[in-house]
Amino acid sequence: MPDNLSPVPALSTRSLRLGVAGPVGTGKSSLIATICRAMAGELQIGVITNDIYTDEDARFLRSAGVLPEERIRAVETGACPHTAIRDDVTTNLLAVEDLEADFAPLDLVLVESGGDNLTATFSPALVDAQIFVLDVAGGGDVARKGGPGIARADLLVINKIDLAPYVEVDVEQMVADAVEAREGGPVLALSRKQQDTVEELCAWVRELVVRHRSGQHTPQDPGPMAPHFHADEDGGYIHTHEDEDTVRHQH
Amino acid sequence: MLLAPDAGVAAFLLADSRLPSGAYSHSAGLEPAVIAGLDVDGVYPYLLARLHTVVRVETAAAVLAHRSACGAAGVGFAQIEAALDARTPSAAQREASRRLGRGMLRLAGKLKPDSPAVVELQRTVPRPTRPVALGVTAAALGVGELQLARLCCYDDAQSVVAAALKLLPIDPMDATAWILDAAEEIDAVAVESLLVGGLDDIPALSAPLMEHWAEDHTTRTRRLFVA
Repeated sequence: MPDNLSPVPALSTRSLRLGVAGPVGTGKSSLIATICRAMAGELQIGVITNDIYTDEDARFLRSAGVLPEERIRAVETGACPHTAIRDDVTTNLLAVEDLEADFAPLDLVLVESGGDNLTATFSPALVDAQIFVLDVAGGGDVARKGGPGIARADLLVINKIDLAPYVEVDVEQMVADAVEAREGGPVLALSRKQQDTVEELCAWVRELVVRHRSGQHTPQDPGPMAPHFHADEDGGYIHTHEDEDTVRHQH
Repeated sequence: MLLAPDAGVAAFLLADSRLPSGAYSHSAGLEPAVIAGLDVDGVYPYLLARLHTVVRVETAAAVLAHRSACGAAGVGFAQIEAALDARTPSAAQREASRRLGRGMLRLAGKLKPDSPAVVELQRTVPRPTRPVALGVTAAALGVGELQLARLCCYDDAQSVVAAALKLLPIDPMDATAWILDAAEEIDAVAVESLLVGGLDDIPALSAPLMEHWAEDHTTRTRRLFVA
């Protein structure tokens, strides 16, 4: 892509580190391949994968030919994919820093979590922002069920919308449920086979890179548990878990 | 040396698997051993075999690094690293140790950024082996050398046990009992390691089969643990 089409300012000292989380099989690797394929011309990109039992994702991405092989590295997680992105990010952080050092300057490092459950989110110590990926084939009701990633990741992607007719999922309803669970936060219905949705994804990433470089982006932690409502005689209250010392209750 | 007031808690911290230093992705060589055919009955003997070979070497080196950090060894960190490398013929094992060491040093740099020993290690050996990083971290936290030596042995045994629970059908309580069963031998190795006076006193013990297994593991694509 010619320079004049890229709105991204040149050179930053540290890449934007973008996490991609979500359950097994929702298309995290495919989403990363899509970003790389579409944006490798305008951004210098590196990828870290966290498979549970293989380096399958890294091999998939290498074979997709979307990035030079050496920019895609796999990290083992000792059967603890959740730990690797949340409780102890050391292994991933060292891998990210090595990648940034070996291919400086990188604009964007994508960190793919091992497919985990709905509660797994990245620590802000590892990534600056995160995408949580669901897919229509996992069921239209998953977005409604919520969870920290669904509710508060920087972007929620509902993937494989081209499959919706085959699995009898109403994409519009699923997106509406997601928007409600996220209290208006961004939701993107995506199919790598529908170019307009791919362009929306790229636009979101591009804007984030720009905000990161200009210092306007502040990493948010999706955290372990959503603020939620408790009914009582006085009409109820919103519980945010910021007042844990004074309010104790059963979930 | 005198213990700092917080040393007791610090020693617990260093022994805790929840310590954020990346250790959970290592199996102390057990995964390649299991793939090579080691079964449930072999885990405890494996743990002891490591204690009397690899771990004796590493513990002596850690104690020396601790003394060096306290200005009492007369050798630098780089020399201890070289001595350890010379006693670790497997490149895979050296690499695994350095991954763990980097994680530990990173943590030490966060916890004790002003410790002269931590700064010196960052400057002279930014990618240290685990024993050297652990020795320096322990010294920076005021953990004494006997406690450090015991920690080296205990941590390796627990790494074997934790990995075994993920790789083989074992009752976690049985596996925990193995640690206690090994306690006397762990203490003996720890006490003996304090006799290290210089680089030449670091034992040169080899476990060729473990080295062989470690090398085999580097090219595997289906693995839970990095080493």
